[in-house]
Amino acid sequence: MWDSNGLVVLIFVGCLAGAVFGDRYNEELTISRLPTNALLANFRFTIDSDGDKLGPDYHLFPRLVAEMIKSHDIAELELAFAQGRWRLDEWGLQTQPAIPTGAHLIAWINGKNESAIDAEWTNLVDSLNGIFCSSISSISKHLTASPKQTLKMNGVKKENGKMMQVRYGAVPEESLCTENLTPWRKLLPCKSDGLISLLNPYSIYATTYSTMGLNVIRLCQEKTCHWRLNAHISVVFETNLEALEAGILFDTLFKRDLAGRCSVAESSRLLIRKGNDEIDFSPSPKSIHGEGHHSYAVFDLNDKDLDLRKIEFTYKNVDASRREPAIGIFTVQGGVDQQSGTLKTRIINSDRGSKTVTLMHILPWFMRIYYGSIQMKCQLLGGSKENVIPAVLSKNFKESLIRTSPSTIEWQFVLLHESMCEFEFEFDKAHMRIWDYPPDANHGMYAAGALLVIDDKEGRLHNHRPILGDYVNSAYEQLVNPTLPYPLSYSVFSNPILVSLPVPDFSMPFNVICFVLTVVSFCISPVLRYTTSMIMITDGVTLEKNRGRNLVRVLLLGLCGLAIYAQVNEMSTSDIRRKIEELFRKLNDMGSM
Amino acid sequence: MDETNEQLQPWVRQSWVRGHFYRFFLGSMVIYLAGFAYLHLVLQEDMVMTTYMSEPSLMPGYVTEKFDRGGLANELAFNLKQAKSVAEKSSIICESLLQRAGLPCFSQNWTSNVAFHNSKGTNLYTVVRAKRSTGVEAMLFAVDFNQHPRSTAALIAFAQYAKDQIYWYRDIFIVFTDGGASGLDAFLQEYHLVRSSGIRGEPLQTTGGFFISGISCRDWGYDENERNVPYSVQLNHLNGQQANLDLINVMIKIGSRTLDKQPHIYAANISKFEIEAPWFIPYRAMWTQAFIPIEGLHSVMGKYRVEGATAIVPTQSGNDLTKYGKLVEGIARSLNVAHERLHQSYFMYVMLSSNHFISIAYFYPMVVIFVVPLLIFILYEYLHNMCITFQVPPTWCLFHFYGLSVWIVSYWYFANLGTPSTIIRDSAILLGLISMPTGILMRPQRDEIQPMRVYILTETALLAASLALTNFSQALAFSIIATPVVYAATLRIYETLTIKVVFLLRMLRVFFVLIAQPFVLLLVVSQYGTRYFGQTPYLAKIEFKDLPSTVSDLLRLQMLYGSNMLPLLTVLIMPIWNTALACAISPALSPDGAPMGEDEQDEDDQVNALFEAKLKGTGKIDEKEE
Repeated sequence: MWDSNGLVVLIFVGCLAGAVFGDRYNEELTISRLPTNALLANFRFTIDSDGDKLGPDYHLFPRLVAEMIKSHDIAELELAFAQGRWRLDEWGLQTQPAIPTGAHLIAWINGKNESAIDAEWTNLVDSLNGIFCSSISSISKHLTASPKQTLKMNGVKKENGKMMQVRYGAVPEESLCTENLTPWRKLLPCKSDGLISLLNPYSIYATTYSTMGLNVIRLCQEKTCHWRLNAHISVVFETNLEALEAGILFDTLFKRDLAGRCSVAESSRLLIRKGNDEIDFSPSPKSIHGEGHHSYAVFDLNDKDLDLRKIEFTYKNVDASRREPAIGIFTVQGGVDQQSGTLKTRIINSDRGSKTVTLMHILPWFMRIYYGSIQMKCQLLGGSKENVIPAVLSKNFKESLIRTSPSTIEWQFVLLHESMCEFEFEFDKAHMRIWDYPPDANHGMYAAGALLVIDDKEGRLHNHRPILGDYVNSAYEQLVNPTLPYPLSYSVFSNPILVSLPVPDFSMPFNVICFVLTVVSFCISPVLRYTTSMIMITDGVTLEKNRGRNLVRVLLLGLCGLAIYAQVNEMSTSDIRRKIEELFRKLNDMGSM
Repeated sequence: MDETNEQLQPWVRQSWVRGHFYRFFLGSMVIYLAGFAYLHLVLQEDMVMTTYMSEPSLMPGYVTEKFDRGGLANELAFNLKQAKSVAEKSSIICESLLQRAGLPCFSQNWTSNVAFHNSKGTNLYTVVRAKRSTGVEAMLFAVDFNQHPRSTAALIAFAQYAKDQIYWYRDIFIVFTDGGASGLDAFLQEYHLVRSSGIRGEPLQTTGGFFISGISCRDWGYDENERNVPYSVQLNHLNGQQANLDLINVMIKIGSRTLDKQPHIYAANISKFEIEAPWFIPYRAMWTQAFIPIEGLHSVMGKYRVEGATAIVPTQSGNDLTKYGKLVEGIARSLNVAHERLHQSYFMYVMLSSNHFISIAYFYPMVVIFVVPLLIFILYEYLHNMCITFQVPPTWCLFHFYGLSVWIVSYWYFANLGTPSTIIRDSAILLGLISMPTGILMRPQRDEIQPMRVYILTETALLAASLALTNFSQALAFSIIATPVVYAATLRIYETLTIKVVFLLRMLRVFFVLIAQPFVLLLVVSQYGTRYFGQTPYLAKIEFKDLPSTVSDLLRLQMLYGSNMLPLLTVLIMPIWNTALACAISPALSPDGAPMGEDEQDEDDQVNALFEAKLKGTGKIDEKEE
C-alpha cells in the first residue's frame, strides 16, 4: 500500500526518469478573446521523445503512439475531431493546424509500394478508430484520397529507402464526445493534474465549438532527430462583454479549478492574449511578451508562489474595432432534384495582398463529377465588380472509383487581392445499391468541405490569427523566439454538404403504382396480344421484310447482354463509356499501324 | 385450321359486341354513378384514418416553450404598423432590430423577368446559425413584411430569442419578403442556385444547407365584427403538390395548444371560416388543390423540395404576441429534432378535418372508378374495330400539334415581346387561338372516326390517371367532367333508330360537347367555387368579358412560377375537347359500325357483306343466332 512517502518517491523517480532519459513534456493553455467577445481556449500538450528510436523502454512518450508509428511505418500523422463550425467570418482564421467539421486523418506512410501503403493505412484507420472510440472506419472503405499538391509534410522524413505517400480522409458527420476524450487523455503523462484537470467534459461539450486532436511529427536539429506528439484541444466559450468585464476565472469557463501541478511537466504555462485590450490581471503576470495584436500575458503555472485558483483576468476596455475577415470560404450545393447538382465554392480574399492558394475538393464516389463543367470565375470586390481571369498555376484531378475511392480535385491559382472567386462544377448523383446506404438513408449522405491552403510568405495573415502556435511550435515558443518562422501557409476549411440521393423505397405510393403497373403491363400486354391477334399465313415477301426487324431484335438482344454484363461487373454508364472509348482507341491504334 | 373460319372470327366477335351494346352502356353508367357513391362514402369522417406522426422523432417537439420576448414583439409590431413605406419598414427590421440583436441582416433585390409583368422588390433575410452542428441542414421561416406586420414582429423577436439558445441542430433562415411569393421564389432560386426565366434575384451573401422545412407566417387580419378568429393552416403548393402531413400535424397540434384555438385548414378568408360543416372541408381541400396555384408564400417552396406550409395566426390588435412566438418556437424545436428529412411520399392525402385524412389508397380509386366507363368503351371499340385497319388518325395528331404550336409560340411571344400595355389585347388573341373549335373546322376523314374514338377514350383515361398522381383534385374534376363528355361524343348511334332521332341525338351531343368547353367550365366552376370556398382561383374576374384577363393571369402564373394549368389546357385538354367535338359531329353509323350518309359503300362494308354471305352459305351464322 502506498503511503505519502511512497508517492513522493514515485514522483521523484518519475522526474528523474524524465530528466535522465530525456523525454520531455510541456503543457500550455492559450486564451484569446475573439472579435464576437467569445473566448477561445487552446490547450496544447507536447511530448518530445528522447531520440529517433522509440522503445523498448517508454517513459513519457506514449507507448501506444510509438508502437503505432513503428508498426505502420508512419512518417507523420494527424488525427483531429471538431464539433461545430469555425466561423471564419466572425472569428478570423482558425487555429493551426485547422480542423474541418467532423473528423479528419492525415498520415504520411512509408512502404515498399502503393499497395503496401494502402494496407498500412487501412490498419492505421482501424487502430485509431478503436483507440479513440470513434466511427472513422468509413475512411478506409471509400473515402481515402492521396492528394499530390495540397498537403505538405511538416517534419523530416526518415531515410529508409522506402517510398512515402500521404493518405487523407475526412468524415464530416463524426461527432466529438467524452468517449473520444477519455482515450485521448490517457496518452498524456499527467491525467488528473496540471492543465488537463481543467478539461471538464460537461463544460467543454456545452460550448459552441470544440476540437480535439493529436499530431505526431519527426523533427531534426542538426543531426539529432526526435519525435514530437502534440495533443491539442480548442474550445470556444460564448461569452459577452458583461461577462468579460465581470472577470474571468478558470471556474467561470471550465466549471472547475486547476487541480494542482503536473510534476513531470518541464513547463506549464498560461498565455492570455492581451492584444489591444485593456485587461486587469490578478495576480499580475511575470511578463508580457510580444506586441500589438499578438501580445500575451504569460503565467508560469509551475511557479510555486502562484495561487492557481486565484488567477483572474478582467477586461476593462475592449478593442471594439472588428477587423474584416481576411479570408472567407463557403461551399453551396445547387440543384433541387435527385439526379444531379452543382457545387459552388466561393473564396473571398479581403486582404490587400494577392495570394497563391490551393483548393482541394475530395468528394465521395457517389458524386460523379463532370470535369468538363469545372469553371472558376473571379471578380474584384468593391464598387467595380470587375471580372478578372485567375492565373491558374497547376491542376490535379483524380477520378473516383465506384465504392472504392473518392474523386480529388486540386487547383492551385493566384487569388488576387480584394477579390472573390467562385469554383463551380456539376455532378451527377449515383444510383447506389441498397446496401450502400447508411441507416436513415433519407437523411442524405455527407461530403466534406473544401480545403484551402493559403501561402503567406509575407506574413500578411499573421494578425488575423486568434492565437500563435502552429503544427510544430507552441505559442510560447513562437512568442519568445522571434527567429522561429511564422507559418508559411494557413489552412481553412469550408462547410461540409449533405447530398440527397435517390433512396430505394418500395413501400410508398409512387413506387407501388409504378412497380405494380409495370408488372401488370408486362403480363397483360402479351396476354392481350396473343389472345386477340389474328393468325395470318405469311409468304416469302413478308419474311424478307422482317430482316430489318430481326436486325433490330439482335441489336436489342446485344444491349440486354451489355446491361447484364454491366450489372454483374458493377459497372456504371461512365465505366461503359470509358470501355467503349478504350475500344475505339485501340481500333484507331490498329488502324494507324 | 380452315382459312374461312380464321377470317370469320372478328366478324362474329363484332356481332356479339354490337349485340351487347346496351349492356356496355348501362354498365358504364352504373359505374360512373357508383363513383359518386364512393366519393360520398369515402369522405365520411368515420370512414377514414386519424392523423398520426410517421416521423417519430418529431414528437420531442412537444416541449414547454420558453419564448419570452412577447413585449419586444408587440413593440416591433406597433412600429412596423406605423411605418408608411417599404423602405421605412426595411429600415426598422434591418438596422434597428436585427443588428441590435447581433444578427446579420442581408438584402436581396429581385425583379420579374417576364416582359409583360413588371414587379420587383427587396427581400431581407437573416440566419441564426446552429452553433454546434455541421450546418448541412436548415429550416426556413418566411413572412411578407409589407403585408403582415405582426407576424414580422413575432419572427424578429423569435430570431432574437433563438440566437441565445444553443440546442439548434439546424440553421434557421428567416426571410422577410417584399412582393409575396415572387420575392420568396427569388430567394429560394438563388439559395438553390437554380435559374428560372420568370424571376431574377441577386446572389445571396450567405447560404446554408438543405431546408428540411419551410414555414410561412401570416396575420389573420382584423375581423370587423370582433369575432373570435381561428388559427388556420394552409398547405397547397404549386401544381397540386402538398406539404408533408407530419409537418401539418406538427403545426396543428402545437398551434392548437399554444394558441388555445381550434385549428382550421385551408381557410384563408375570414368571412368563410364559419362554413365549417364536416362535409365542407374535403371539398374545400380539393377545390384549393385543383384551382388555387399560389395559396401563400409556402406555395413556391415545393418547387425546391422544401416542405412548406403557412400558419395564419389570429393577431387582432391588443393580442399579446407571446403566444405567437411560442408557436414559432414550438414548430422550430419540433423540426429541429427531426431525424431525417420529411419523406417525399407523405404528401398524397386529402384532409377531412384538422385530424382526419384520406390517404392515396382510398382516394386514388375514386379517379379510377370515374374513368372505368371510358376503359369499358375502349374495350368495346377495340373489339368492334378488330376487322378494320387500325391507324393513327391524322386529324387527332393535328389537333394536338395545333395545341402544342399555340403554346410554344405564345410562350415565346409573351416571354420576349409582350408588354404590359398590350397584354389584354394579346391575351384576347391567345384566347381566340386556344379556343378555336378545330374539331369543327378540321373534319376528320371517314375512316379516321373509329380509331379516333379509341384514341380519345384512351387519352382521356390516361390523362386522368396520370394527373391524379400529381394533382388528385384536378384529376378528379377532370374525370368527372370529361368522362360523360367524351362518353357522349364517342357513343355509337346506330341507324337502327329513325333518321330524326339520330339527327336529334347528334345535335344534342354536339351541344353538350360545346357547352363543356374547358374555358367555359373553368369560368362556371370558379364563379360558384369562389362564392362557397372563399378563394379566387385563376379567374380574377368571373365574367365572359374578362376572360382575356384570366388568360393573362394564367400566363403570369405559368411564366413567373411554373404553373402548369395553361399548358395543360392548351396542349392536352383543348385537343381532347376538339377531338370529342369532331367525334360528336361525325355521321351516324350503319348497323355494322361504318359511317352512313355517303354515296359510296365503304370497302369494309363490302368485305363484311361478303363474309355475311359466306356465313349464310356455311350456315354458321344461323347457328350463332340460334
